[in-house]
Formats: sequence, C-alpha cells, structure tokens
Amino acid sequence: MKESLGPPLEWSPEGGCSRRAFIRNMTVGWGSLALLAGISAAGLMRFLLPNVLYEPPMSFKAGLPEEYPEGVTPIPGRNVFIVREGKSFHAISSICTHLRCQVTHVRGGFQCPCHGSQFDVQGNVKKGAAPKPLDWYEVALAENGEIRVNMKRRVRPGSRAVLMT
Amino acid sequence: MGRKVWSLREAVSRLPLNVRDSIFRQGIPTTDHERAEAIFGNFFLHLHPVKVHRNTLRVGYTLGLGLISLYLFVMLAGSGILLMFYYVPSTDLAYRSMKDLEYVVSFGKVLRNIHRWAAHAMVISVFFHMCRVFYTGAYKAPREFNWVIGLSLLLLTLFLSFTGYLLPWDQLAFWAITVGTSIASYIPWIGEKLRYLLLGGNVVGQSALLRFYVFHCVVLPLLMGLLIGVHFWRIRKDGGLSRPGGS
Repeated sequence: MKESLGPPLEWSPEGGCSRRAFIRNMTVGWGSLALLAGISAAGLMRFLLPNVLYEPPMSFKAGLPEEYPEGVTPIPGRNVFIVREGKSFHAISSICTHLRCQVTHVRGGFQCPCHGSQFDVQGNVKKGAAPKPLDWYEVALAENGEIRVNMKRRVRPGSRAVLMT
Repeated sequence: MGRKVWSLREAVSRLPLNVRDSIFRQGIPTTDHERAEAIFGNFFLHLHPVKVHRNTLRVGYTLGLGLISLYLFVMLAGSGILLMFYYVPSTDLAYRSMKDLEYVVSFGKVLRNIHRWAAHAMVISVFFHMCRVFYTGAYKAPREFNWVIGLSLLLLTLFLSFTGYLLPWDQLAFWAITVGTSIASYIPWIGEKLRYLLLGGNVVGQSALLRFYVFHCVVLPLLMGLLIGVHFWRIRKDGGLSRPGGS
C-alpha cells in the first residue's frame, strides 16, 4: 500500500516506507510494547501483594475480665497491654511509634529498648524519638464473657470500657 | 582448502591437536597483532584492554579497590551458593540450619565466616572505591554515567547486606529488619505500601523471611552481575581506568 499524502520520501523509495507509515508503525510497535511492559509491571506488583496473611488475627479474645489483676498486663504474641482499673479496661499497643520495637512496662509507663523512647501510663510520649503516643484499641465483651480486643479499631486515648458489673 | 581423507589412526593421533585448534582458533601468537587478537578473542581475557597506559598499572593510584570489590563479590557468590545447600528459609528451620552450619557441617563455620566477613569487607571496599573515584575526579566526563552505575552498585551492595541480615532469624536479625523496614515506611505516600510489599504482610514473619531470601540469593545478585558487567564495559568504552596525566 502506497501512501500518497505527506512530504516526499528522503531515502530509498523502493522497498522503504513513507515517513507517515514509519511513524505510525513505530508508534504502534513501541506503544504496544510499552503497554505490555506497563501491564506486566502492574501485574507483578499486584502479584507480590499477598491476599491472605498467615498472621495473628487483629481481633482476638483475651480471657475473662476477672482473671486480670489490677494494672498493666502484657499479652504475649499480641503486641498489646491490657490495663485494668477496677471495673474498667483499656488496651494499649506495645508497638513503639518510632520504629515498631516492643515497648516494655516500667514504673510510670512504658519504655522502648531500641532507641530509648519513654511513654507515660496513658501512652503519651515523655521522652525520646517516638513521634506519636501509643495506640489505644477498642475493647469489649465477647458473647462468652471474655474480653475482645480489636486492634483494627483505634480509640481515643483515655477511653475506657466498663466490662464488669 | 581441500578436504583430506584421514585414516582412523591419523584421525586419532591428530585428535588432541584438533581439539586444541577448535578451542584456540589461532596458534601460539608470534606478532603483537596476534597477541592482541588472542586477548580479545578470548571470553575470559577480553575484559582486559589490549594495551594499557603505563600509569594505569600504578597500584598506588586506584589501590585496586574496584577489583577487590569484584573479588569479594565472587567470593560471596561462591560461599553463598554453598551455604544454600544447608540453609532453609523457614521460620522453624532457619536458625537451626544456621546453627548446623556453625557446629555440624564440615567447613560450615569457615564458609559462613567467609561469607560474613567478605560481606562486611565488600561494603567497606565499595565505599572506599567510591571515595577514591571521588577524590581523583574519576567521575568527571566522560565517566559521569559510570559513576551513576557505581552508585547503583553501592545501593545493591547495601540491599544485599540488609537482606542477608534477616536470614539467621535470630533476635538481632528480627529487630534489625523490623526497624529497617519501619524506616522505609516513613517514605511519604508509598512508605506503608512499600513495607507491606517488602515484608509480604504486616509483621516480620515467614513471608518476609522468604522474600528476603529470594532477593538475597536471586534477584539482587543477578542485578549486581548485570550492572558489574555494564560498569566494566563502560570503563573500557570511556577510555580505560582513569590515571594521572591521562585524558
């Protein structure tokens, strides 16, 4: 097929292609290649984002309220402290807001071993590198009477749930 | 050339010579031109330039830091492949297989220590290599692009170091990667997503270990090999090793 439009050919009229056809072919060719590369890259990214996580569930039952002593109790493997004050309870994250190390309960609050951040009993930053206070999570009673901690739902620091009558 | 018909006896007696000629196309070189051809006709030797400037051979100028880095990488690849025969990238077995390598496997302790110390040395030698290039002005035109490739190689070295850090699966490894990936999550907009992608989840667990293993043993070394090739090729194309008094 011979293109009649466009400027005259600059080289090799026989067997060559017109400028217009050349540009069109290059655009289509490289364009499809770029599209394919883009789709593959997007697909690769999606593939690498797992759909199912084999991690401890974010919402879990943590025993009966009566079993908790007054004060701060760490929950092993759950990255959370459950704090009992009489009949009311709250849950504070044990993950430092600086770089996610485990804070430990010390007199007067919490302390991070990695970079020395210190928090008061409310989880507010007293000292150190932590930019934000510790998270507070929702606590409620499950159907069977146990405490349920839901780490997917953060609550306002200072909010407590009365879980005993 | 006419085709000669050989007797079996002749053919057998000429076999070693035939094999040699099939590998080394030209015979023993006698002229400078043939010597040059022998160098760049050989895959392993063609990395070397046919001619070098006298000043290029002065060790005191480059201190051989680039080559030292290469040799360390080769040592790391070799010892790393051997370690892979025993190491299992699972949270249950990683620490135990590391301990096996330390105490049970023959020469395991030597291999692991070669791998470990060569890794530390490589970070240091790559860093000093970069300093040398900087202080001798070897990053200047026409070598600017090779400086950029060198920067990528430095980053790859650091990523290899970082991904290898997790594999023993001890407390140091766990918290170092917890902290390291949390630093990555401070990147605006994409930080949290990047951390999720790196770890394959929200916590440093089995998928993180497997991901770091694949990056450490396959992805990053392949990229490294590729870029090392480009780096060396560019050295030649940009006029050879930089040298005092050369242009």
